[in-house]
Amino acid sequence: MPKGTDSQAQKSKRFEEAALPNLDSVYRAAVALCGRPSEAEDLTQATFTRALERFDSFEVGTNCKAWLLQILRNIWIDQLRRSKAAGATVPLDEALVAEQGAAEETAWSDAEDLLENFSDDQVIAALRQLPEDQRLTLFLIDVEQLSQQEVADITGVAVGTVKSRTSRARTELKRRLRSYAQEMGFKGYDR
Amino acid sequence: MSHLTDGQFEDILLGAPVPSHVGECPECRARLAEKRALSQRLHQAFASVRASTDLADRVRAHVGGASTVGETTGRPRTILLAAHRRLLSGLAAAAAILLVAIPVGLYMNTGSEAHAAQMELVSLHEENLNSMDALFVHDDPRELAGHLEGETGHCPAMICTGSEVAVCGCCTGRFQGRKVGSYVVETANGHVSIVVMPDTPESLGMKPDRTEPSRTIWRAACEGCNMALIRIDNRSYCAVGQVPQEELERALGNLLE
Repeated sequence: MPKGTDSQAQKSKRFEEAALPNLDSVYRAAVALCGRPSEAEDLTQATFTRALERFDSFEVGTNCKAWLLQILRNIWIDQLRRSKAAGATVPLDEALVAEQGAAEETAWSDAEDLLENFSDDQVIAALRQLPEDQRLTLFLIDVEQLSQQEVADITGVAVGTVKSRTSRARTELKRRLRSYAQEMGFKGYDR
Repeated sequence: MSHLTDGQFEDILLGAPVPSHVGECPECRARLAEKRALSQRLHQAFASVRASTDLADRVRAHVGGASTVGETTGRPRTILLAAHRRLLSGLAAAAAILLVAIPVGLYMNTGSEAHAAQMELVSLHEENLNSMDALFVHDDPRELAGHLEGETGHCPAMICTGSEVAVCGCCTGRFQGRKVGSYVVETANGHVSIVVMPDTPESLGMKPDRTEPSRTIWRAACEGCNMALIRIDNRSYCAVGQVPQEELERALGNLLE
């Protein structure tokens, strides 16, 4: 049966098969962006709702996860714009943070061992303090392991920008973790 | 000899071949190792983050229901929990203002709500102790977790058997109007209930202790009981009992992710 004449039930079934296996990925991205589990759940649900509404525009055979994550990002940006318009506090400006992180030069010699001292919650909290675009880019590259091209498509920037943004995000993440470590009195994080 | 650029490091992390320069340059080698470790640690931090069963059910129900709802209204119905919570908290705030306005000497605030939640946890623990005969008992921790999953829809982290604490069994009870599961364990100083719930430690009025580097532990004390709580997979595991804090934390230490 041609796609255009699908009944709603058939469309729902096709959507379920293509989209629902990506539920965890979408939820993880929502956690990375929102932080609070309740907000992350709402963002996830809103993403699937919008995706279902627009499922006719999804091209079968393309990357459904990337398509869903793009929808999630768009909804998140809409929400941020509304928050900004309402005067809510928003994360630091990307350029400002990049400048703060620019002094970061020396590498931790035993990074793997040092990083094991942090709980998962602390690592995720540190990621959430990054500016939105850095946060999502680093999440998509490191956690979802998407290609730079896929991330570029999702975030609407050039591959080169993805590359530089990922690098800046990683530097900033390290800076945040080092700051946590100093607060908690861990040793070996002073570089 | 020029060092690798940030872009080259990113390419290597995504699978590009490592230039021979890295083998000869300790600085680039250290930077690469650090970037790789950060990348792996971030990946690992999210490994246990999964959509809850509740969320999966809601999304599935929504998608499945769209075939009927969508056909009649042209647009699927969306229920957003946080939005509802905001609405409900708005109504609650209005109700609170009315309560304050009525001169009956009553007041409510977040502290009293948290205290009420702690009292409820203590009651739940007492109920568990009073119904030890009705516990679901099994030697295999997977069976215990499976039983709780069948009862509550959520598969909790498993607790070790045969370790310093003896697992007596598991059961369900009501907390904040919801069905929650608990393990009951016996320590050297008495029985402890480990209640598994979605509530955050902040909402229970518990205070974090971040001196433990590997995991944050929240603590509280109420009605002669101590409480210790850890978070696993977006769930709170709250140990409650008339035993020292250290015992509670030891019992929580037996939870396997």
